Amino acid sequence: MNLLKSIWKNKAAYLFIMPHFALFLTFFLIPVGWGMYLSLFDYSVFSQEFIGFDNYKEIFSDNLFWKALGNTFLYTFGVVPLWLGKALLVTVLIYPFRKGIRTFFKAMFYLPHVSSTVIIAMIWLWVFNPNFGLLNFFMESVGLDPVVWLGNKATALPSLIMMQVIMGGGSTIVLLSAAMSSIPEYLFEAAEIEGASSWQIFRKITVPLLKPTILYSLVMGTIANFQTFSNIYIMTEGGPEFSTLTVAYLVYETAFKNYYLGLASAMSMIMFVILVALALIQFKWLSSNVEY
Amino acid sequence: MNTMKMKRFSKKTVSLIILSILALLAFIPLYWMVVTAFKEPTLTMKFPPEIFPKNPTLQNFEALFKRRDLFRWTLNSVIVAGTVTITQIFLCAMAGYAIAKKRFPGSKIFFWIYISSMMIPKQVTIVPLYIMVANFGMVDSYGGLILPSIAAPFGVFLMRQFMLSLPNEIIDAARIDGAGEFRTFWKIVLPMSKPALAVLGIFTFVGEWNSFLWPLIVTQSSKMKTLQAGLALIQEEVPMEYAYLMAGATFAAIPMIIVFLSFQKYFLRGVTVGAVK
Amino acid sequence: MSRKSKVLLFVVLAMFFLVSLVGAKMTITWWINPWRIAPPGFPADQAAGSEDFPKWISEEFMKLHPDVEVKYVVVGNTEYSQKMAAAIATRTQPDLFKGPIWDSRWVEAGLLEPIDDYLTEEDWEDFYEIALDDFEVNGKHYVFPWSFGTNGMGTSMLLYTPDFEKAGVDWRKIVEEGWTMEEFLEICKKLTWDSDGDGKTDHYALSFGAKDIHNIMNFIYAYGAKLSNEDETEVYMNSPQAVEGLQFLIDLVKKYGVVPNGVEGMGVYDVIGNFHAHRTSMGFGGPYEIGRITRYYLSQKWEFSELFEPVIAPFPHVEGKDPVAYAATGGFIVFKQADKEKRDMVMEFARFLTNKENMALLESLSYLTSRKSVNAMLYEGDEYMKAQVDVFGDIMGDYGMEFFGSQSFPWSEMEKYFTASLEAAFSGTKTPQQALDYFNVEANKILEKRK
Repeated sequence: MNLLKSIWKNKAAYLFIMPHFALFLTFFLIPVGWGMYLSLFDYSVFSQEFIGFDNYKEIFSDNLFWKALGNTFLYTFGVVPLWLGKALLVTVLIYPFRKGIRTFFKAMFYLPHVSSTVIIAMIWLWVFNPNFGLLNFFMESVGLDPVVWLGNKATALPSLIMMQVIMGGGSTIVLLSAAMSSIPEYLFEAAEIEGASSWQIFRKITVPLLKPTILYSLVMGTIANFQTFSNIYIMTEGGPEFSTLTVAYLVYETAFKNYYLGLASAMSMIMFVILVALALIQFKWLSSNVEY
Repeated sequence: MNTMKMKRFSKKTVSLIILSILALLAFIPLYWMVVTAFKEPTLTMKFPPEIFPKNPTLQNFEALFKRRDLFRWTLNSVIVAGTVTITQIFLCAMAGYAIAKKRFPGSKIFFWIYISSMMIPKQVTIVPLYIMVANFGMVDSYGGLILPSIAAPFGVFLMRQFMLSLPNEIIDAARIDGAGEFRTFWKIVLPMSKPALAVLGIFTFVGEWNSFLWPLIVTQSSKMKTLQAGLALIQEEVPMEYAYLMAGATFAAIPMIIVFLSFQKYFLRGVTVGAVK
Repeated sequence: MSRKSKVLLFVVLAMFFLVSLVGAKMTITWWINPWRIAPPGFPADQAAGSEDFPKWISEEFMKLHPDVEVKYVVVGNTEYSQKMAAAIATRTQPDLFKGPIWDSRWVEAGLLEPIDDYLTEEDWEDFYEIALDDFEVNGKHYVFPWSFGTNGMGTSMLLYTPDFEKAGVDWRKIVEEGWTMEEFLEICKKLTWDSDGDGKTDHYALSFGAKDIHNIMNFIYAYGAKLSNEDETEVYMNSPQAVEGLQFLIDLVKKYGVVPNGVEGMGVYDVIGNFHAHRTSMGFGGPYEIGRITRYYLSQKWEFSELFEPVIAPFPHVEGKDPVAYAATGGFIVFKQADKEKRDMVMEFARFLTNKENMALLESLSYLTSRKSVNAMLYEGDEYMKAQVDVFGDIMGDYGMEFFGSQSFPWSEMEKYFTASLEAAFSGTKTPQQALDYFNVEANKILEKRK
């Protein structure tokens, strides 16, 4: 009874939340639940049959899925450390400069972010062109042989990783810079006076104090890169020889090319579980990581 | 003292060099996009390529603008991004305000639902969402493009974080003066939230403009496509026409670059709202 | 009721009545993929867009039937099957469509209208038999045939005759009598050279791309390979004949150097571009590809230095066997109609789309039509094109075959494995036998699932 009274007393609050929550419920939460339900069905154009965990059995016994999973891990763990490292490096490097220069660099690094993934993919498809692309032009001008970047299964995925690392990181840099500016300056000055090297300052002061922000970026970055789609769609379609096939692209193909919706839902559930596990691991690992 | 200054100076120089190289790496592809867009098509397939076009031409853009579907796509992007942005600003502000400022049964639950759903990958929702939208008859329509996008949780999270920092006294004072809930919200809370609203608005608009996966799936006919989906279509149609494609890419990238340069401070500030806690 | 209110009531009822009449207008919705056909009266120096033809023909039909509303939707090729599957699943499928898709399960599921009752005697005579039978299931036909043959990939080759003459090769003999694989190889060697004297070969006989499977498959089938057994329960693509065919192609690249390296990374547009730029003396395709040359030249695409007129020739054949040519038809398919009146109208529209006058519009795309009478009339006054169309028609008529199994064969699910195996074979990561074995295993798995 107390609860009902409380609800009635606060009816305004509920009214404020309801418009968004109603949409959120309909177009987000319910689909998530439904997705879980769907994953237990053989849902395609011609049938809608309950089959329990058969979808999951099929996925786990499909070589292509394991390849996609492997590629996705390779891609994510290739991109995230490099890009986070780059962001940290840039943040630390621009810190001592005055505001104007800092803003200039922050803006430069953020710029690629406002172009869509489609545009960036289109540009880099051109850059990677084996006969006329910019990259091979540089290769030849320094005396190296041209490479068929996206056509060779050994270089395709690394090329995509390189592209993401070069173009990305802008928002993380802004984030880390903001966090860094909240670190009291005297800490750095004191360390310098005591003769600490830049590397020591970085390790013992900067990183630990930036930890919450680094953790946040790490988790969000992992989640985002795990779902990478547009670059595969525009540039490689999963090839050559499935070397750039990612789980996100496989879900898209399974659901919207072959129209096996139940199977695709099951795949996305597996993605979800993996991402949650990764996030938990990252939390645990970074939180427990040495206190100085 | 002198050695310290010199040390700092050379450190700064090295830093500048490294920073410039990294920034240049990210910038060169964008430069190349624009350069290619202004090159004559036959020149794109020259090796070695011209780094700076000797005879820039507008013919690629001319050919691009002859496409009637291009303007339809742009219009669609404007309509979708605009509608989602405006709606999100209000709905997320309301919801964020309630969660941040009001103590009511379940407020914590709402908050945790919103925050944890930010971790759910898109792939989980797009399949059932597509079936749902199809059953509502909203495939290939503005409704199908707009409504699911408004439902995104991030905006509520952002507004809640911001509103936490709003001084309670002013809000309480208004309440004591007899202003109703909605009036208080409209006349006091919203104006105070302008910076956060601006940030949310800009991020939402750019995010919607650049969105690709959902528009790709939910549109059928060419004339309902957004600009990004349309670009992908052109890429498929004429994959070797690089000058033409780069003109298309430039056309699609320019609006957001202009938005970025004009509202720079909101971008650079906005990323931090809500994350640095 | 007062007089005034009676009048008002009458007016309101009358309005409702009128509105319901208007609202009850019959609507036909139809889908088509982007074929840039020029409707009559379209300016000759411009390239038609993908909406011009569907818009025009919908309007023409509406002029003939003012009580019918015709709505068209242009759906892109890559997403066509997705959109259709979704539409069927949500019961929002169009009334009529033409697209690069077919699923024989639609017939089993009772989704399609057989068209047999709607063809006249004359129609049955005029349409090519292969065209009608392509979509025949259990004795009933489900397509109003429209285009006959595709752009010609996998059907015929294109020869740039100046190069042949320069190398002293009699290309007319090839067009008229065909060529064996041995003859083909010798000619390829003659057509490969270093044009700028820097010691590196830069001109080749022809090029391939792993993503451009039709042309590669022609060679594989030419050696006698079979896709599957009679009742399509088992895939046979790793037979010795298939391996021999694939090995021949790999040898062209690696052993004889008459095809540029990098096949594994190239697609159909790379192959086309090479031919347009005269980097290769041979290309692939039929009249449509010849039309493409004109179109691309007019829009000043990068690869062109001149406008040229290649000749159509058959693919080479293995001594003792016939050459092989890919043949497929496209046409309009009608979904089941609940209402008899509407069904008749939809069929009427389909007949309108495929009548002689409207079918002749395919000429602007250089596709062959599926009406014998119309084909005979194409390219009046253009000797060159008429000759090419004749050769093409003969090739298809004599040697045409299906490359991807019957209409119920799930090739579209297998295709990516085939591309992957070609990529592996051409890049050397697998031998042709291993590559085709891989494809076979995956393809048979898919057949298993379908059972």
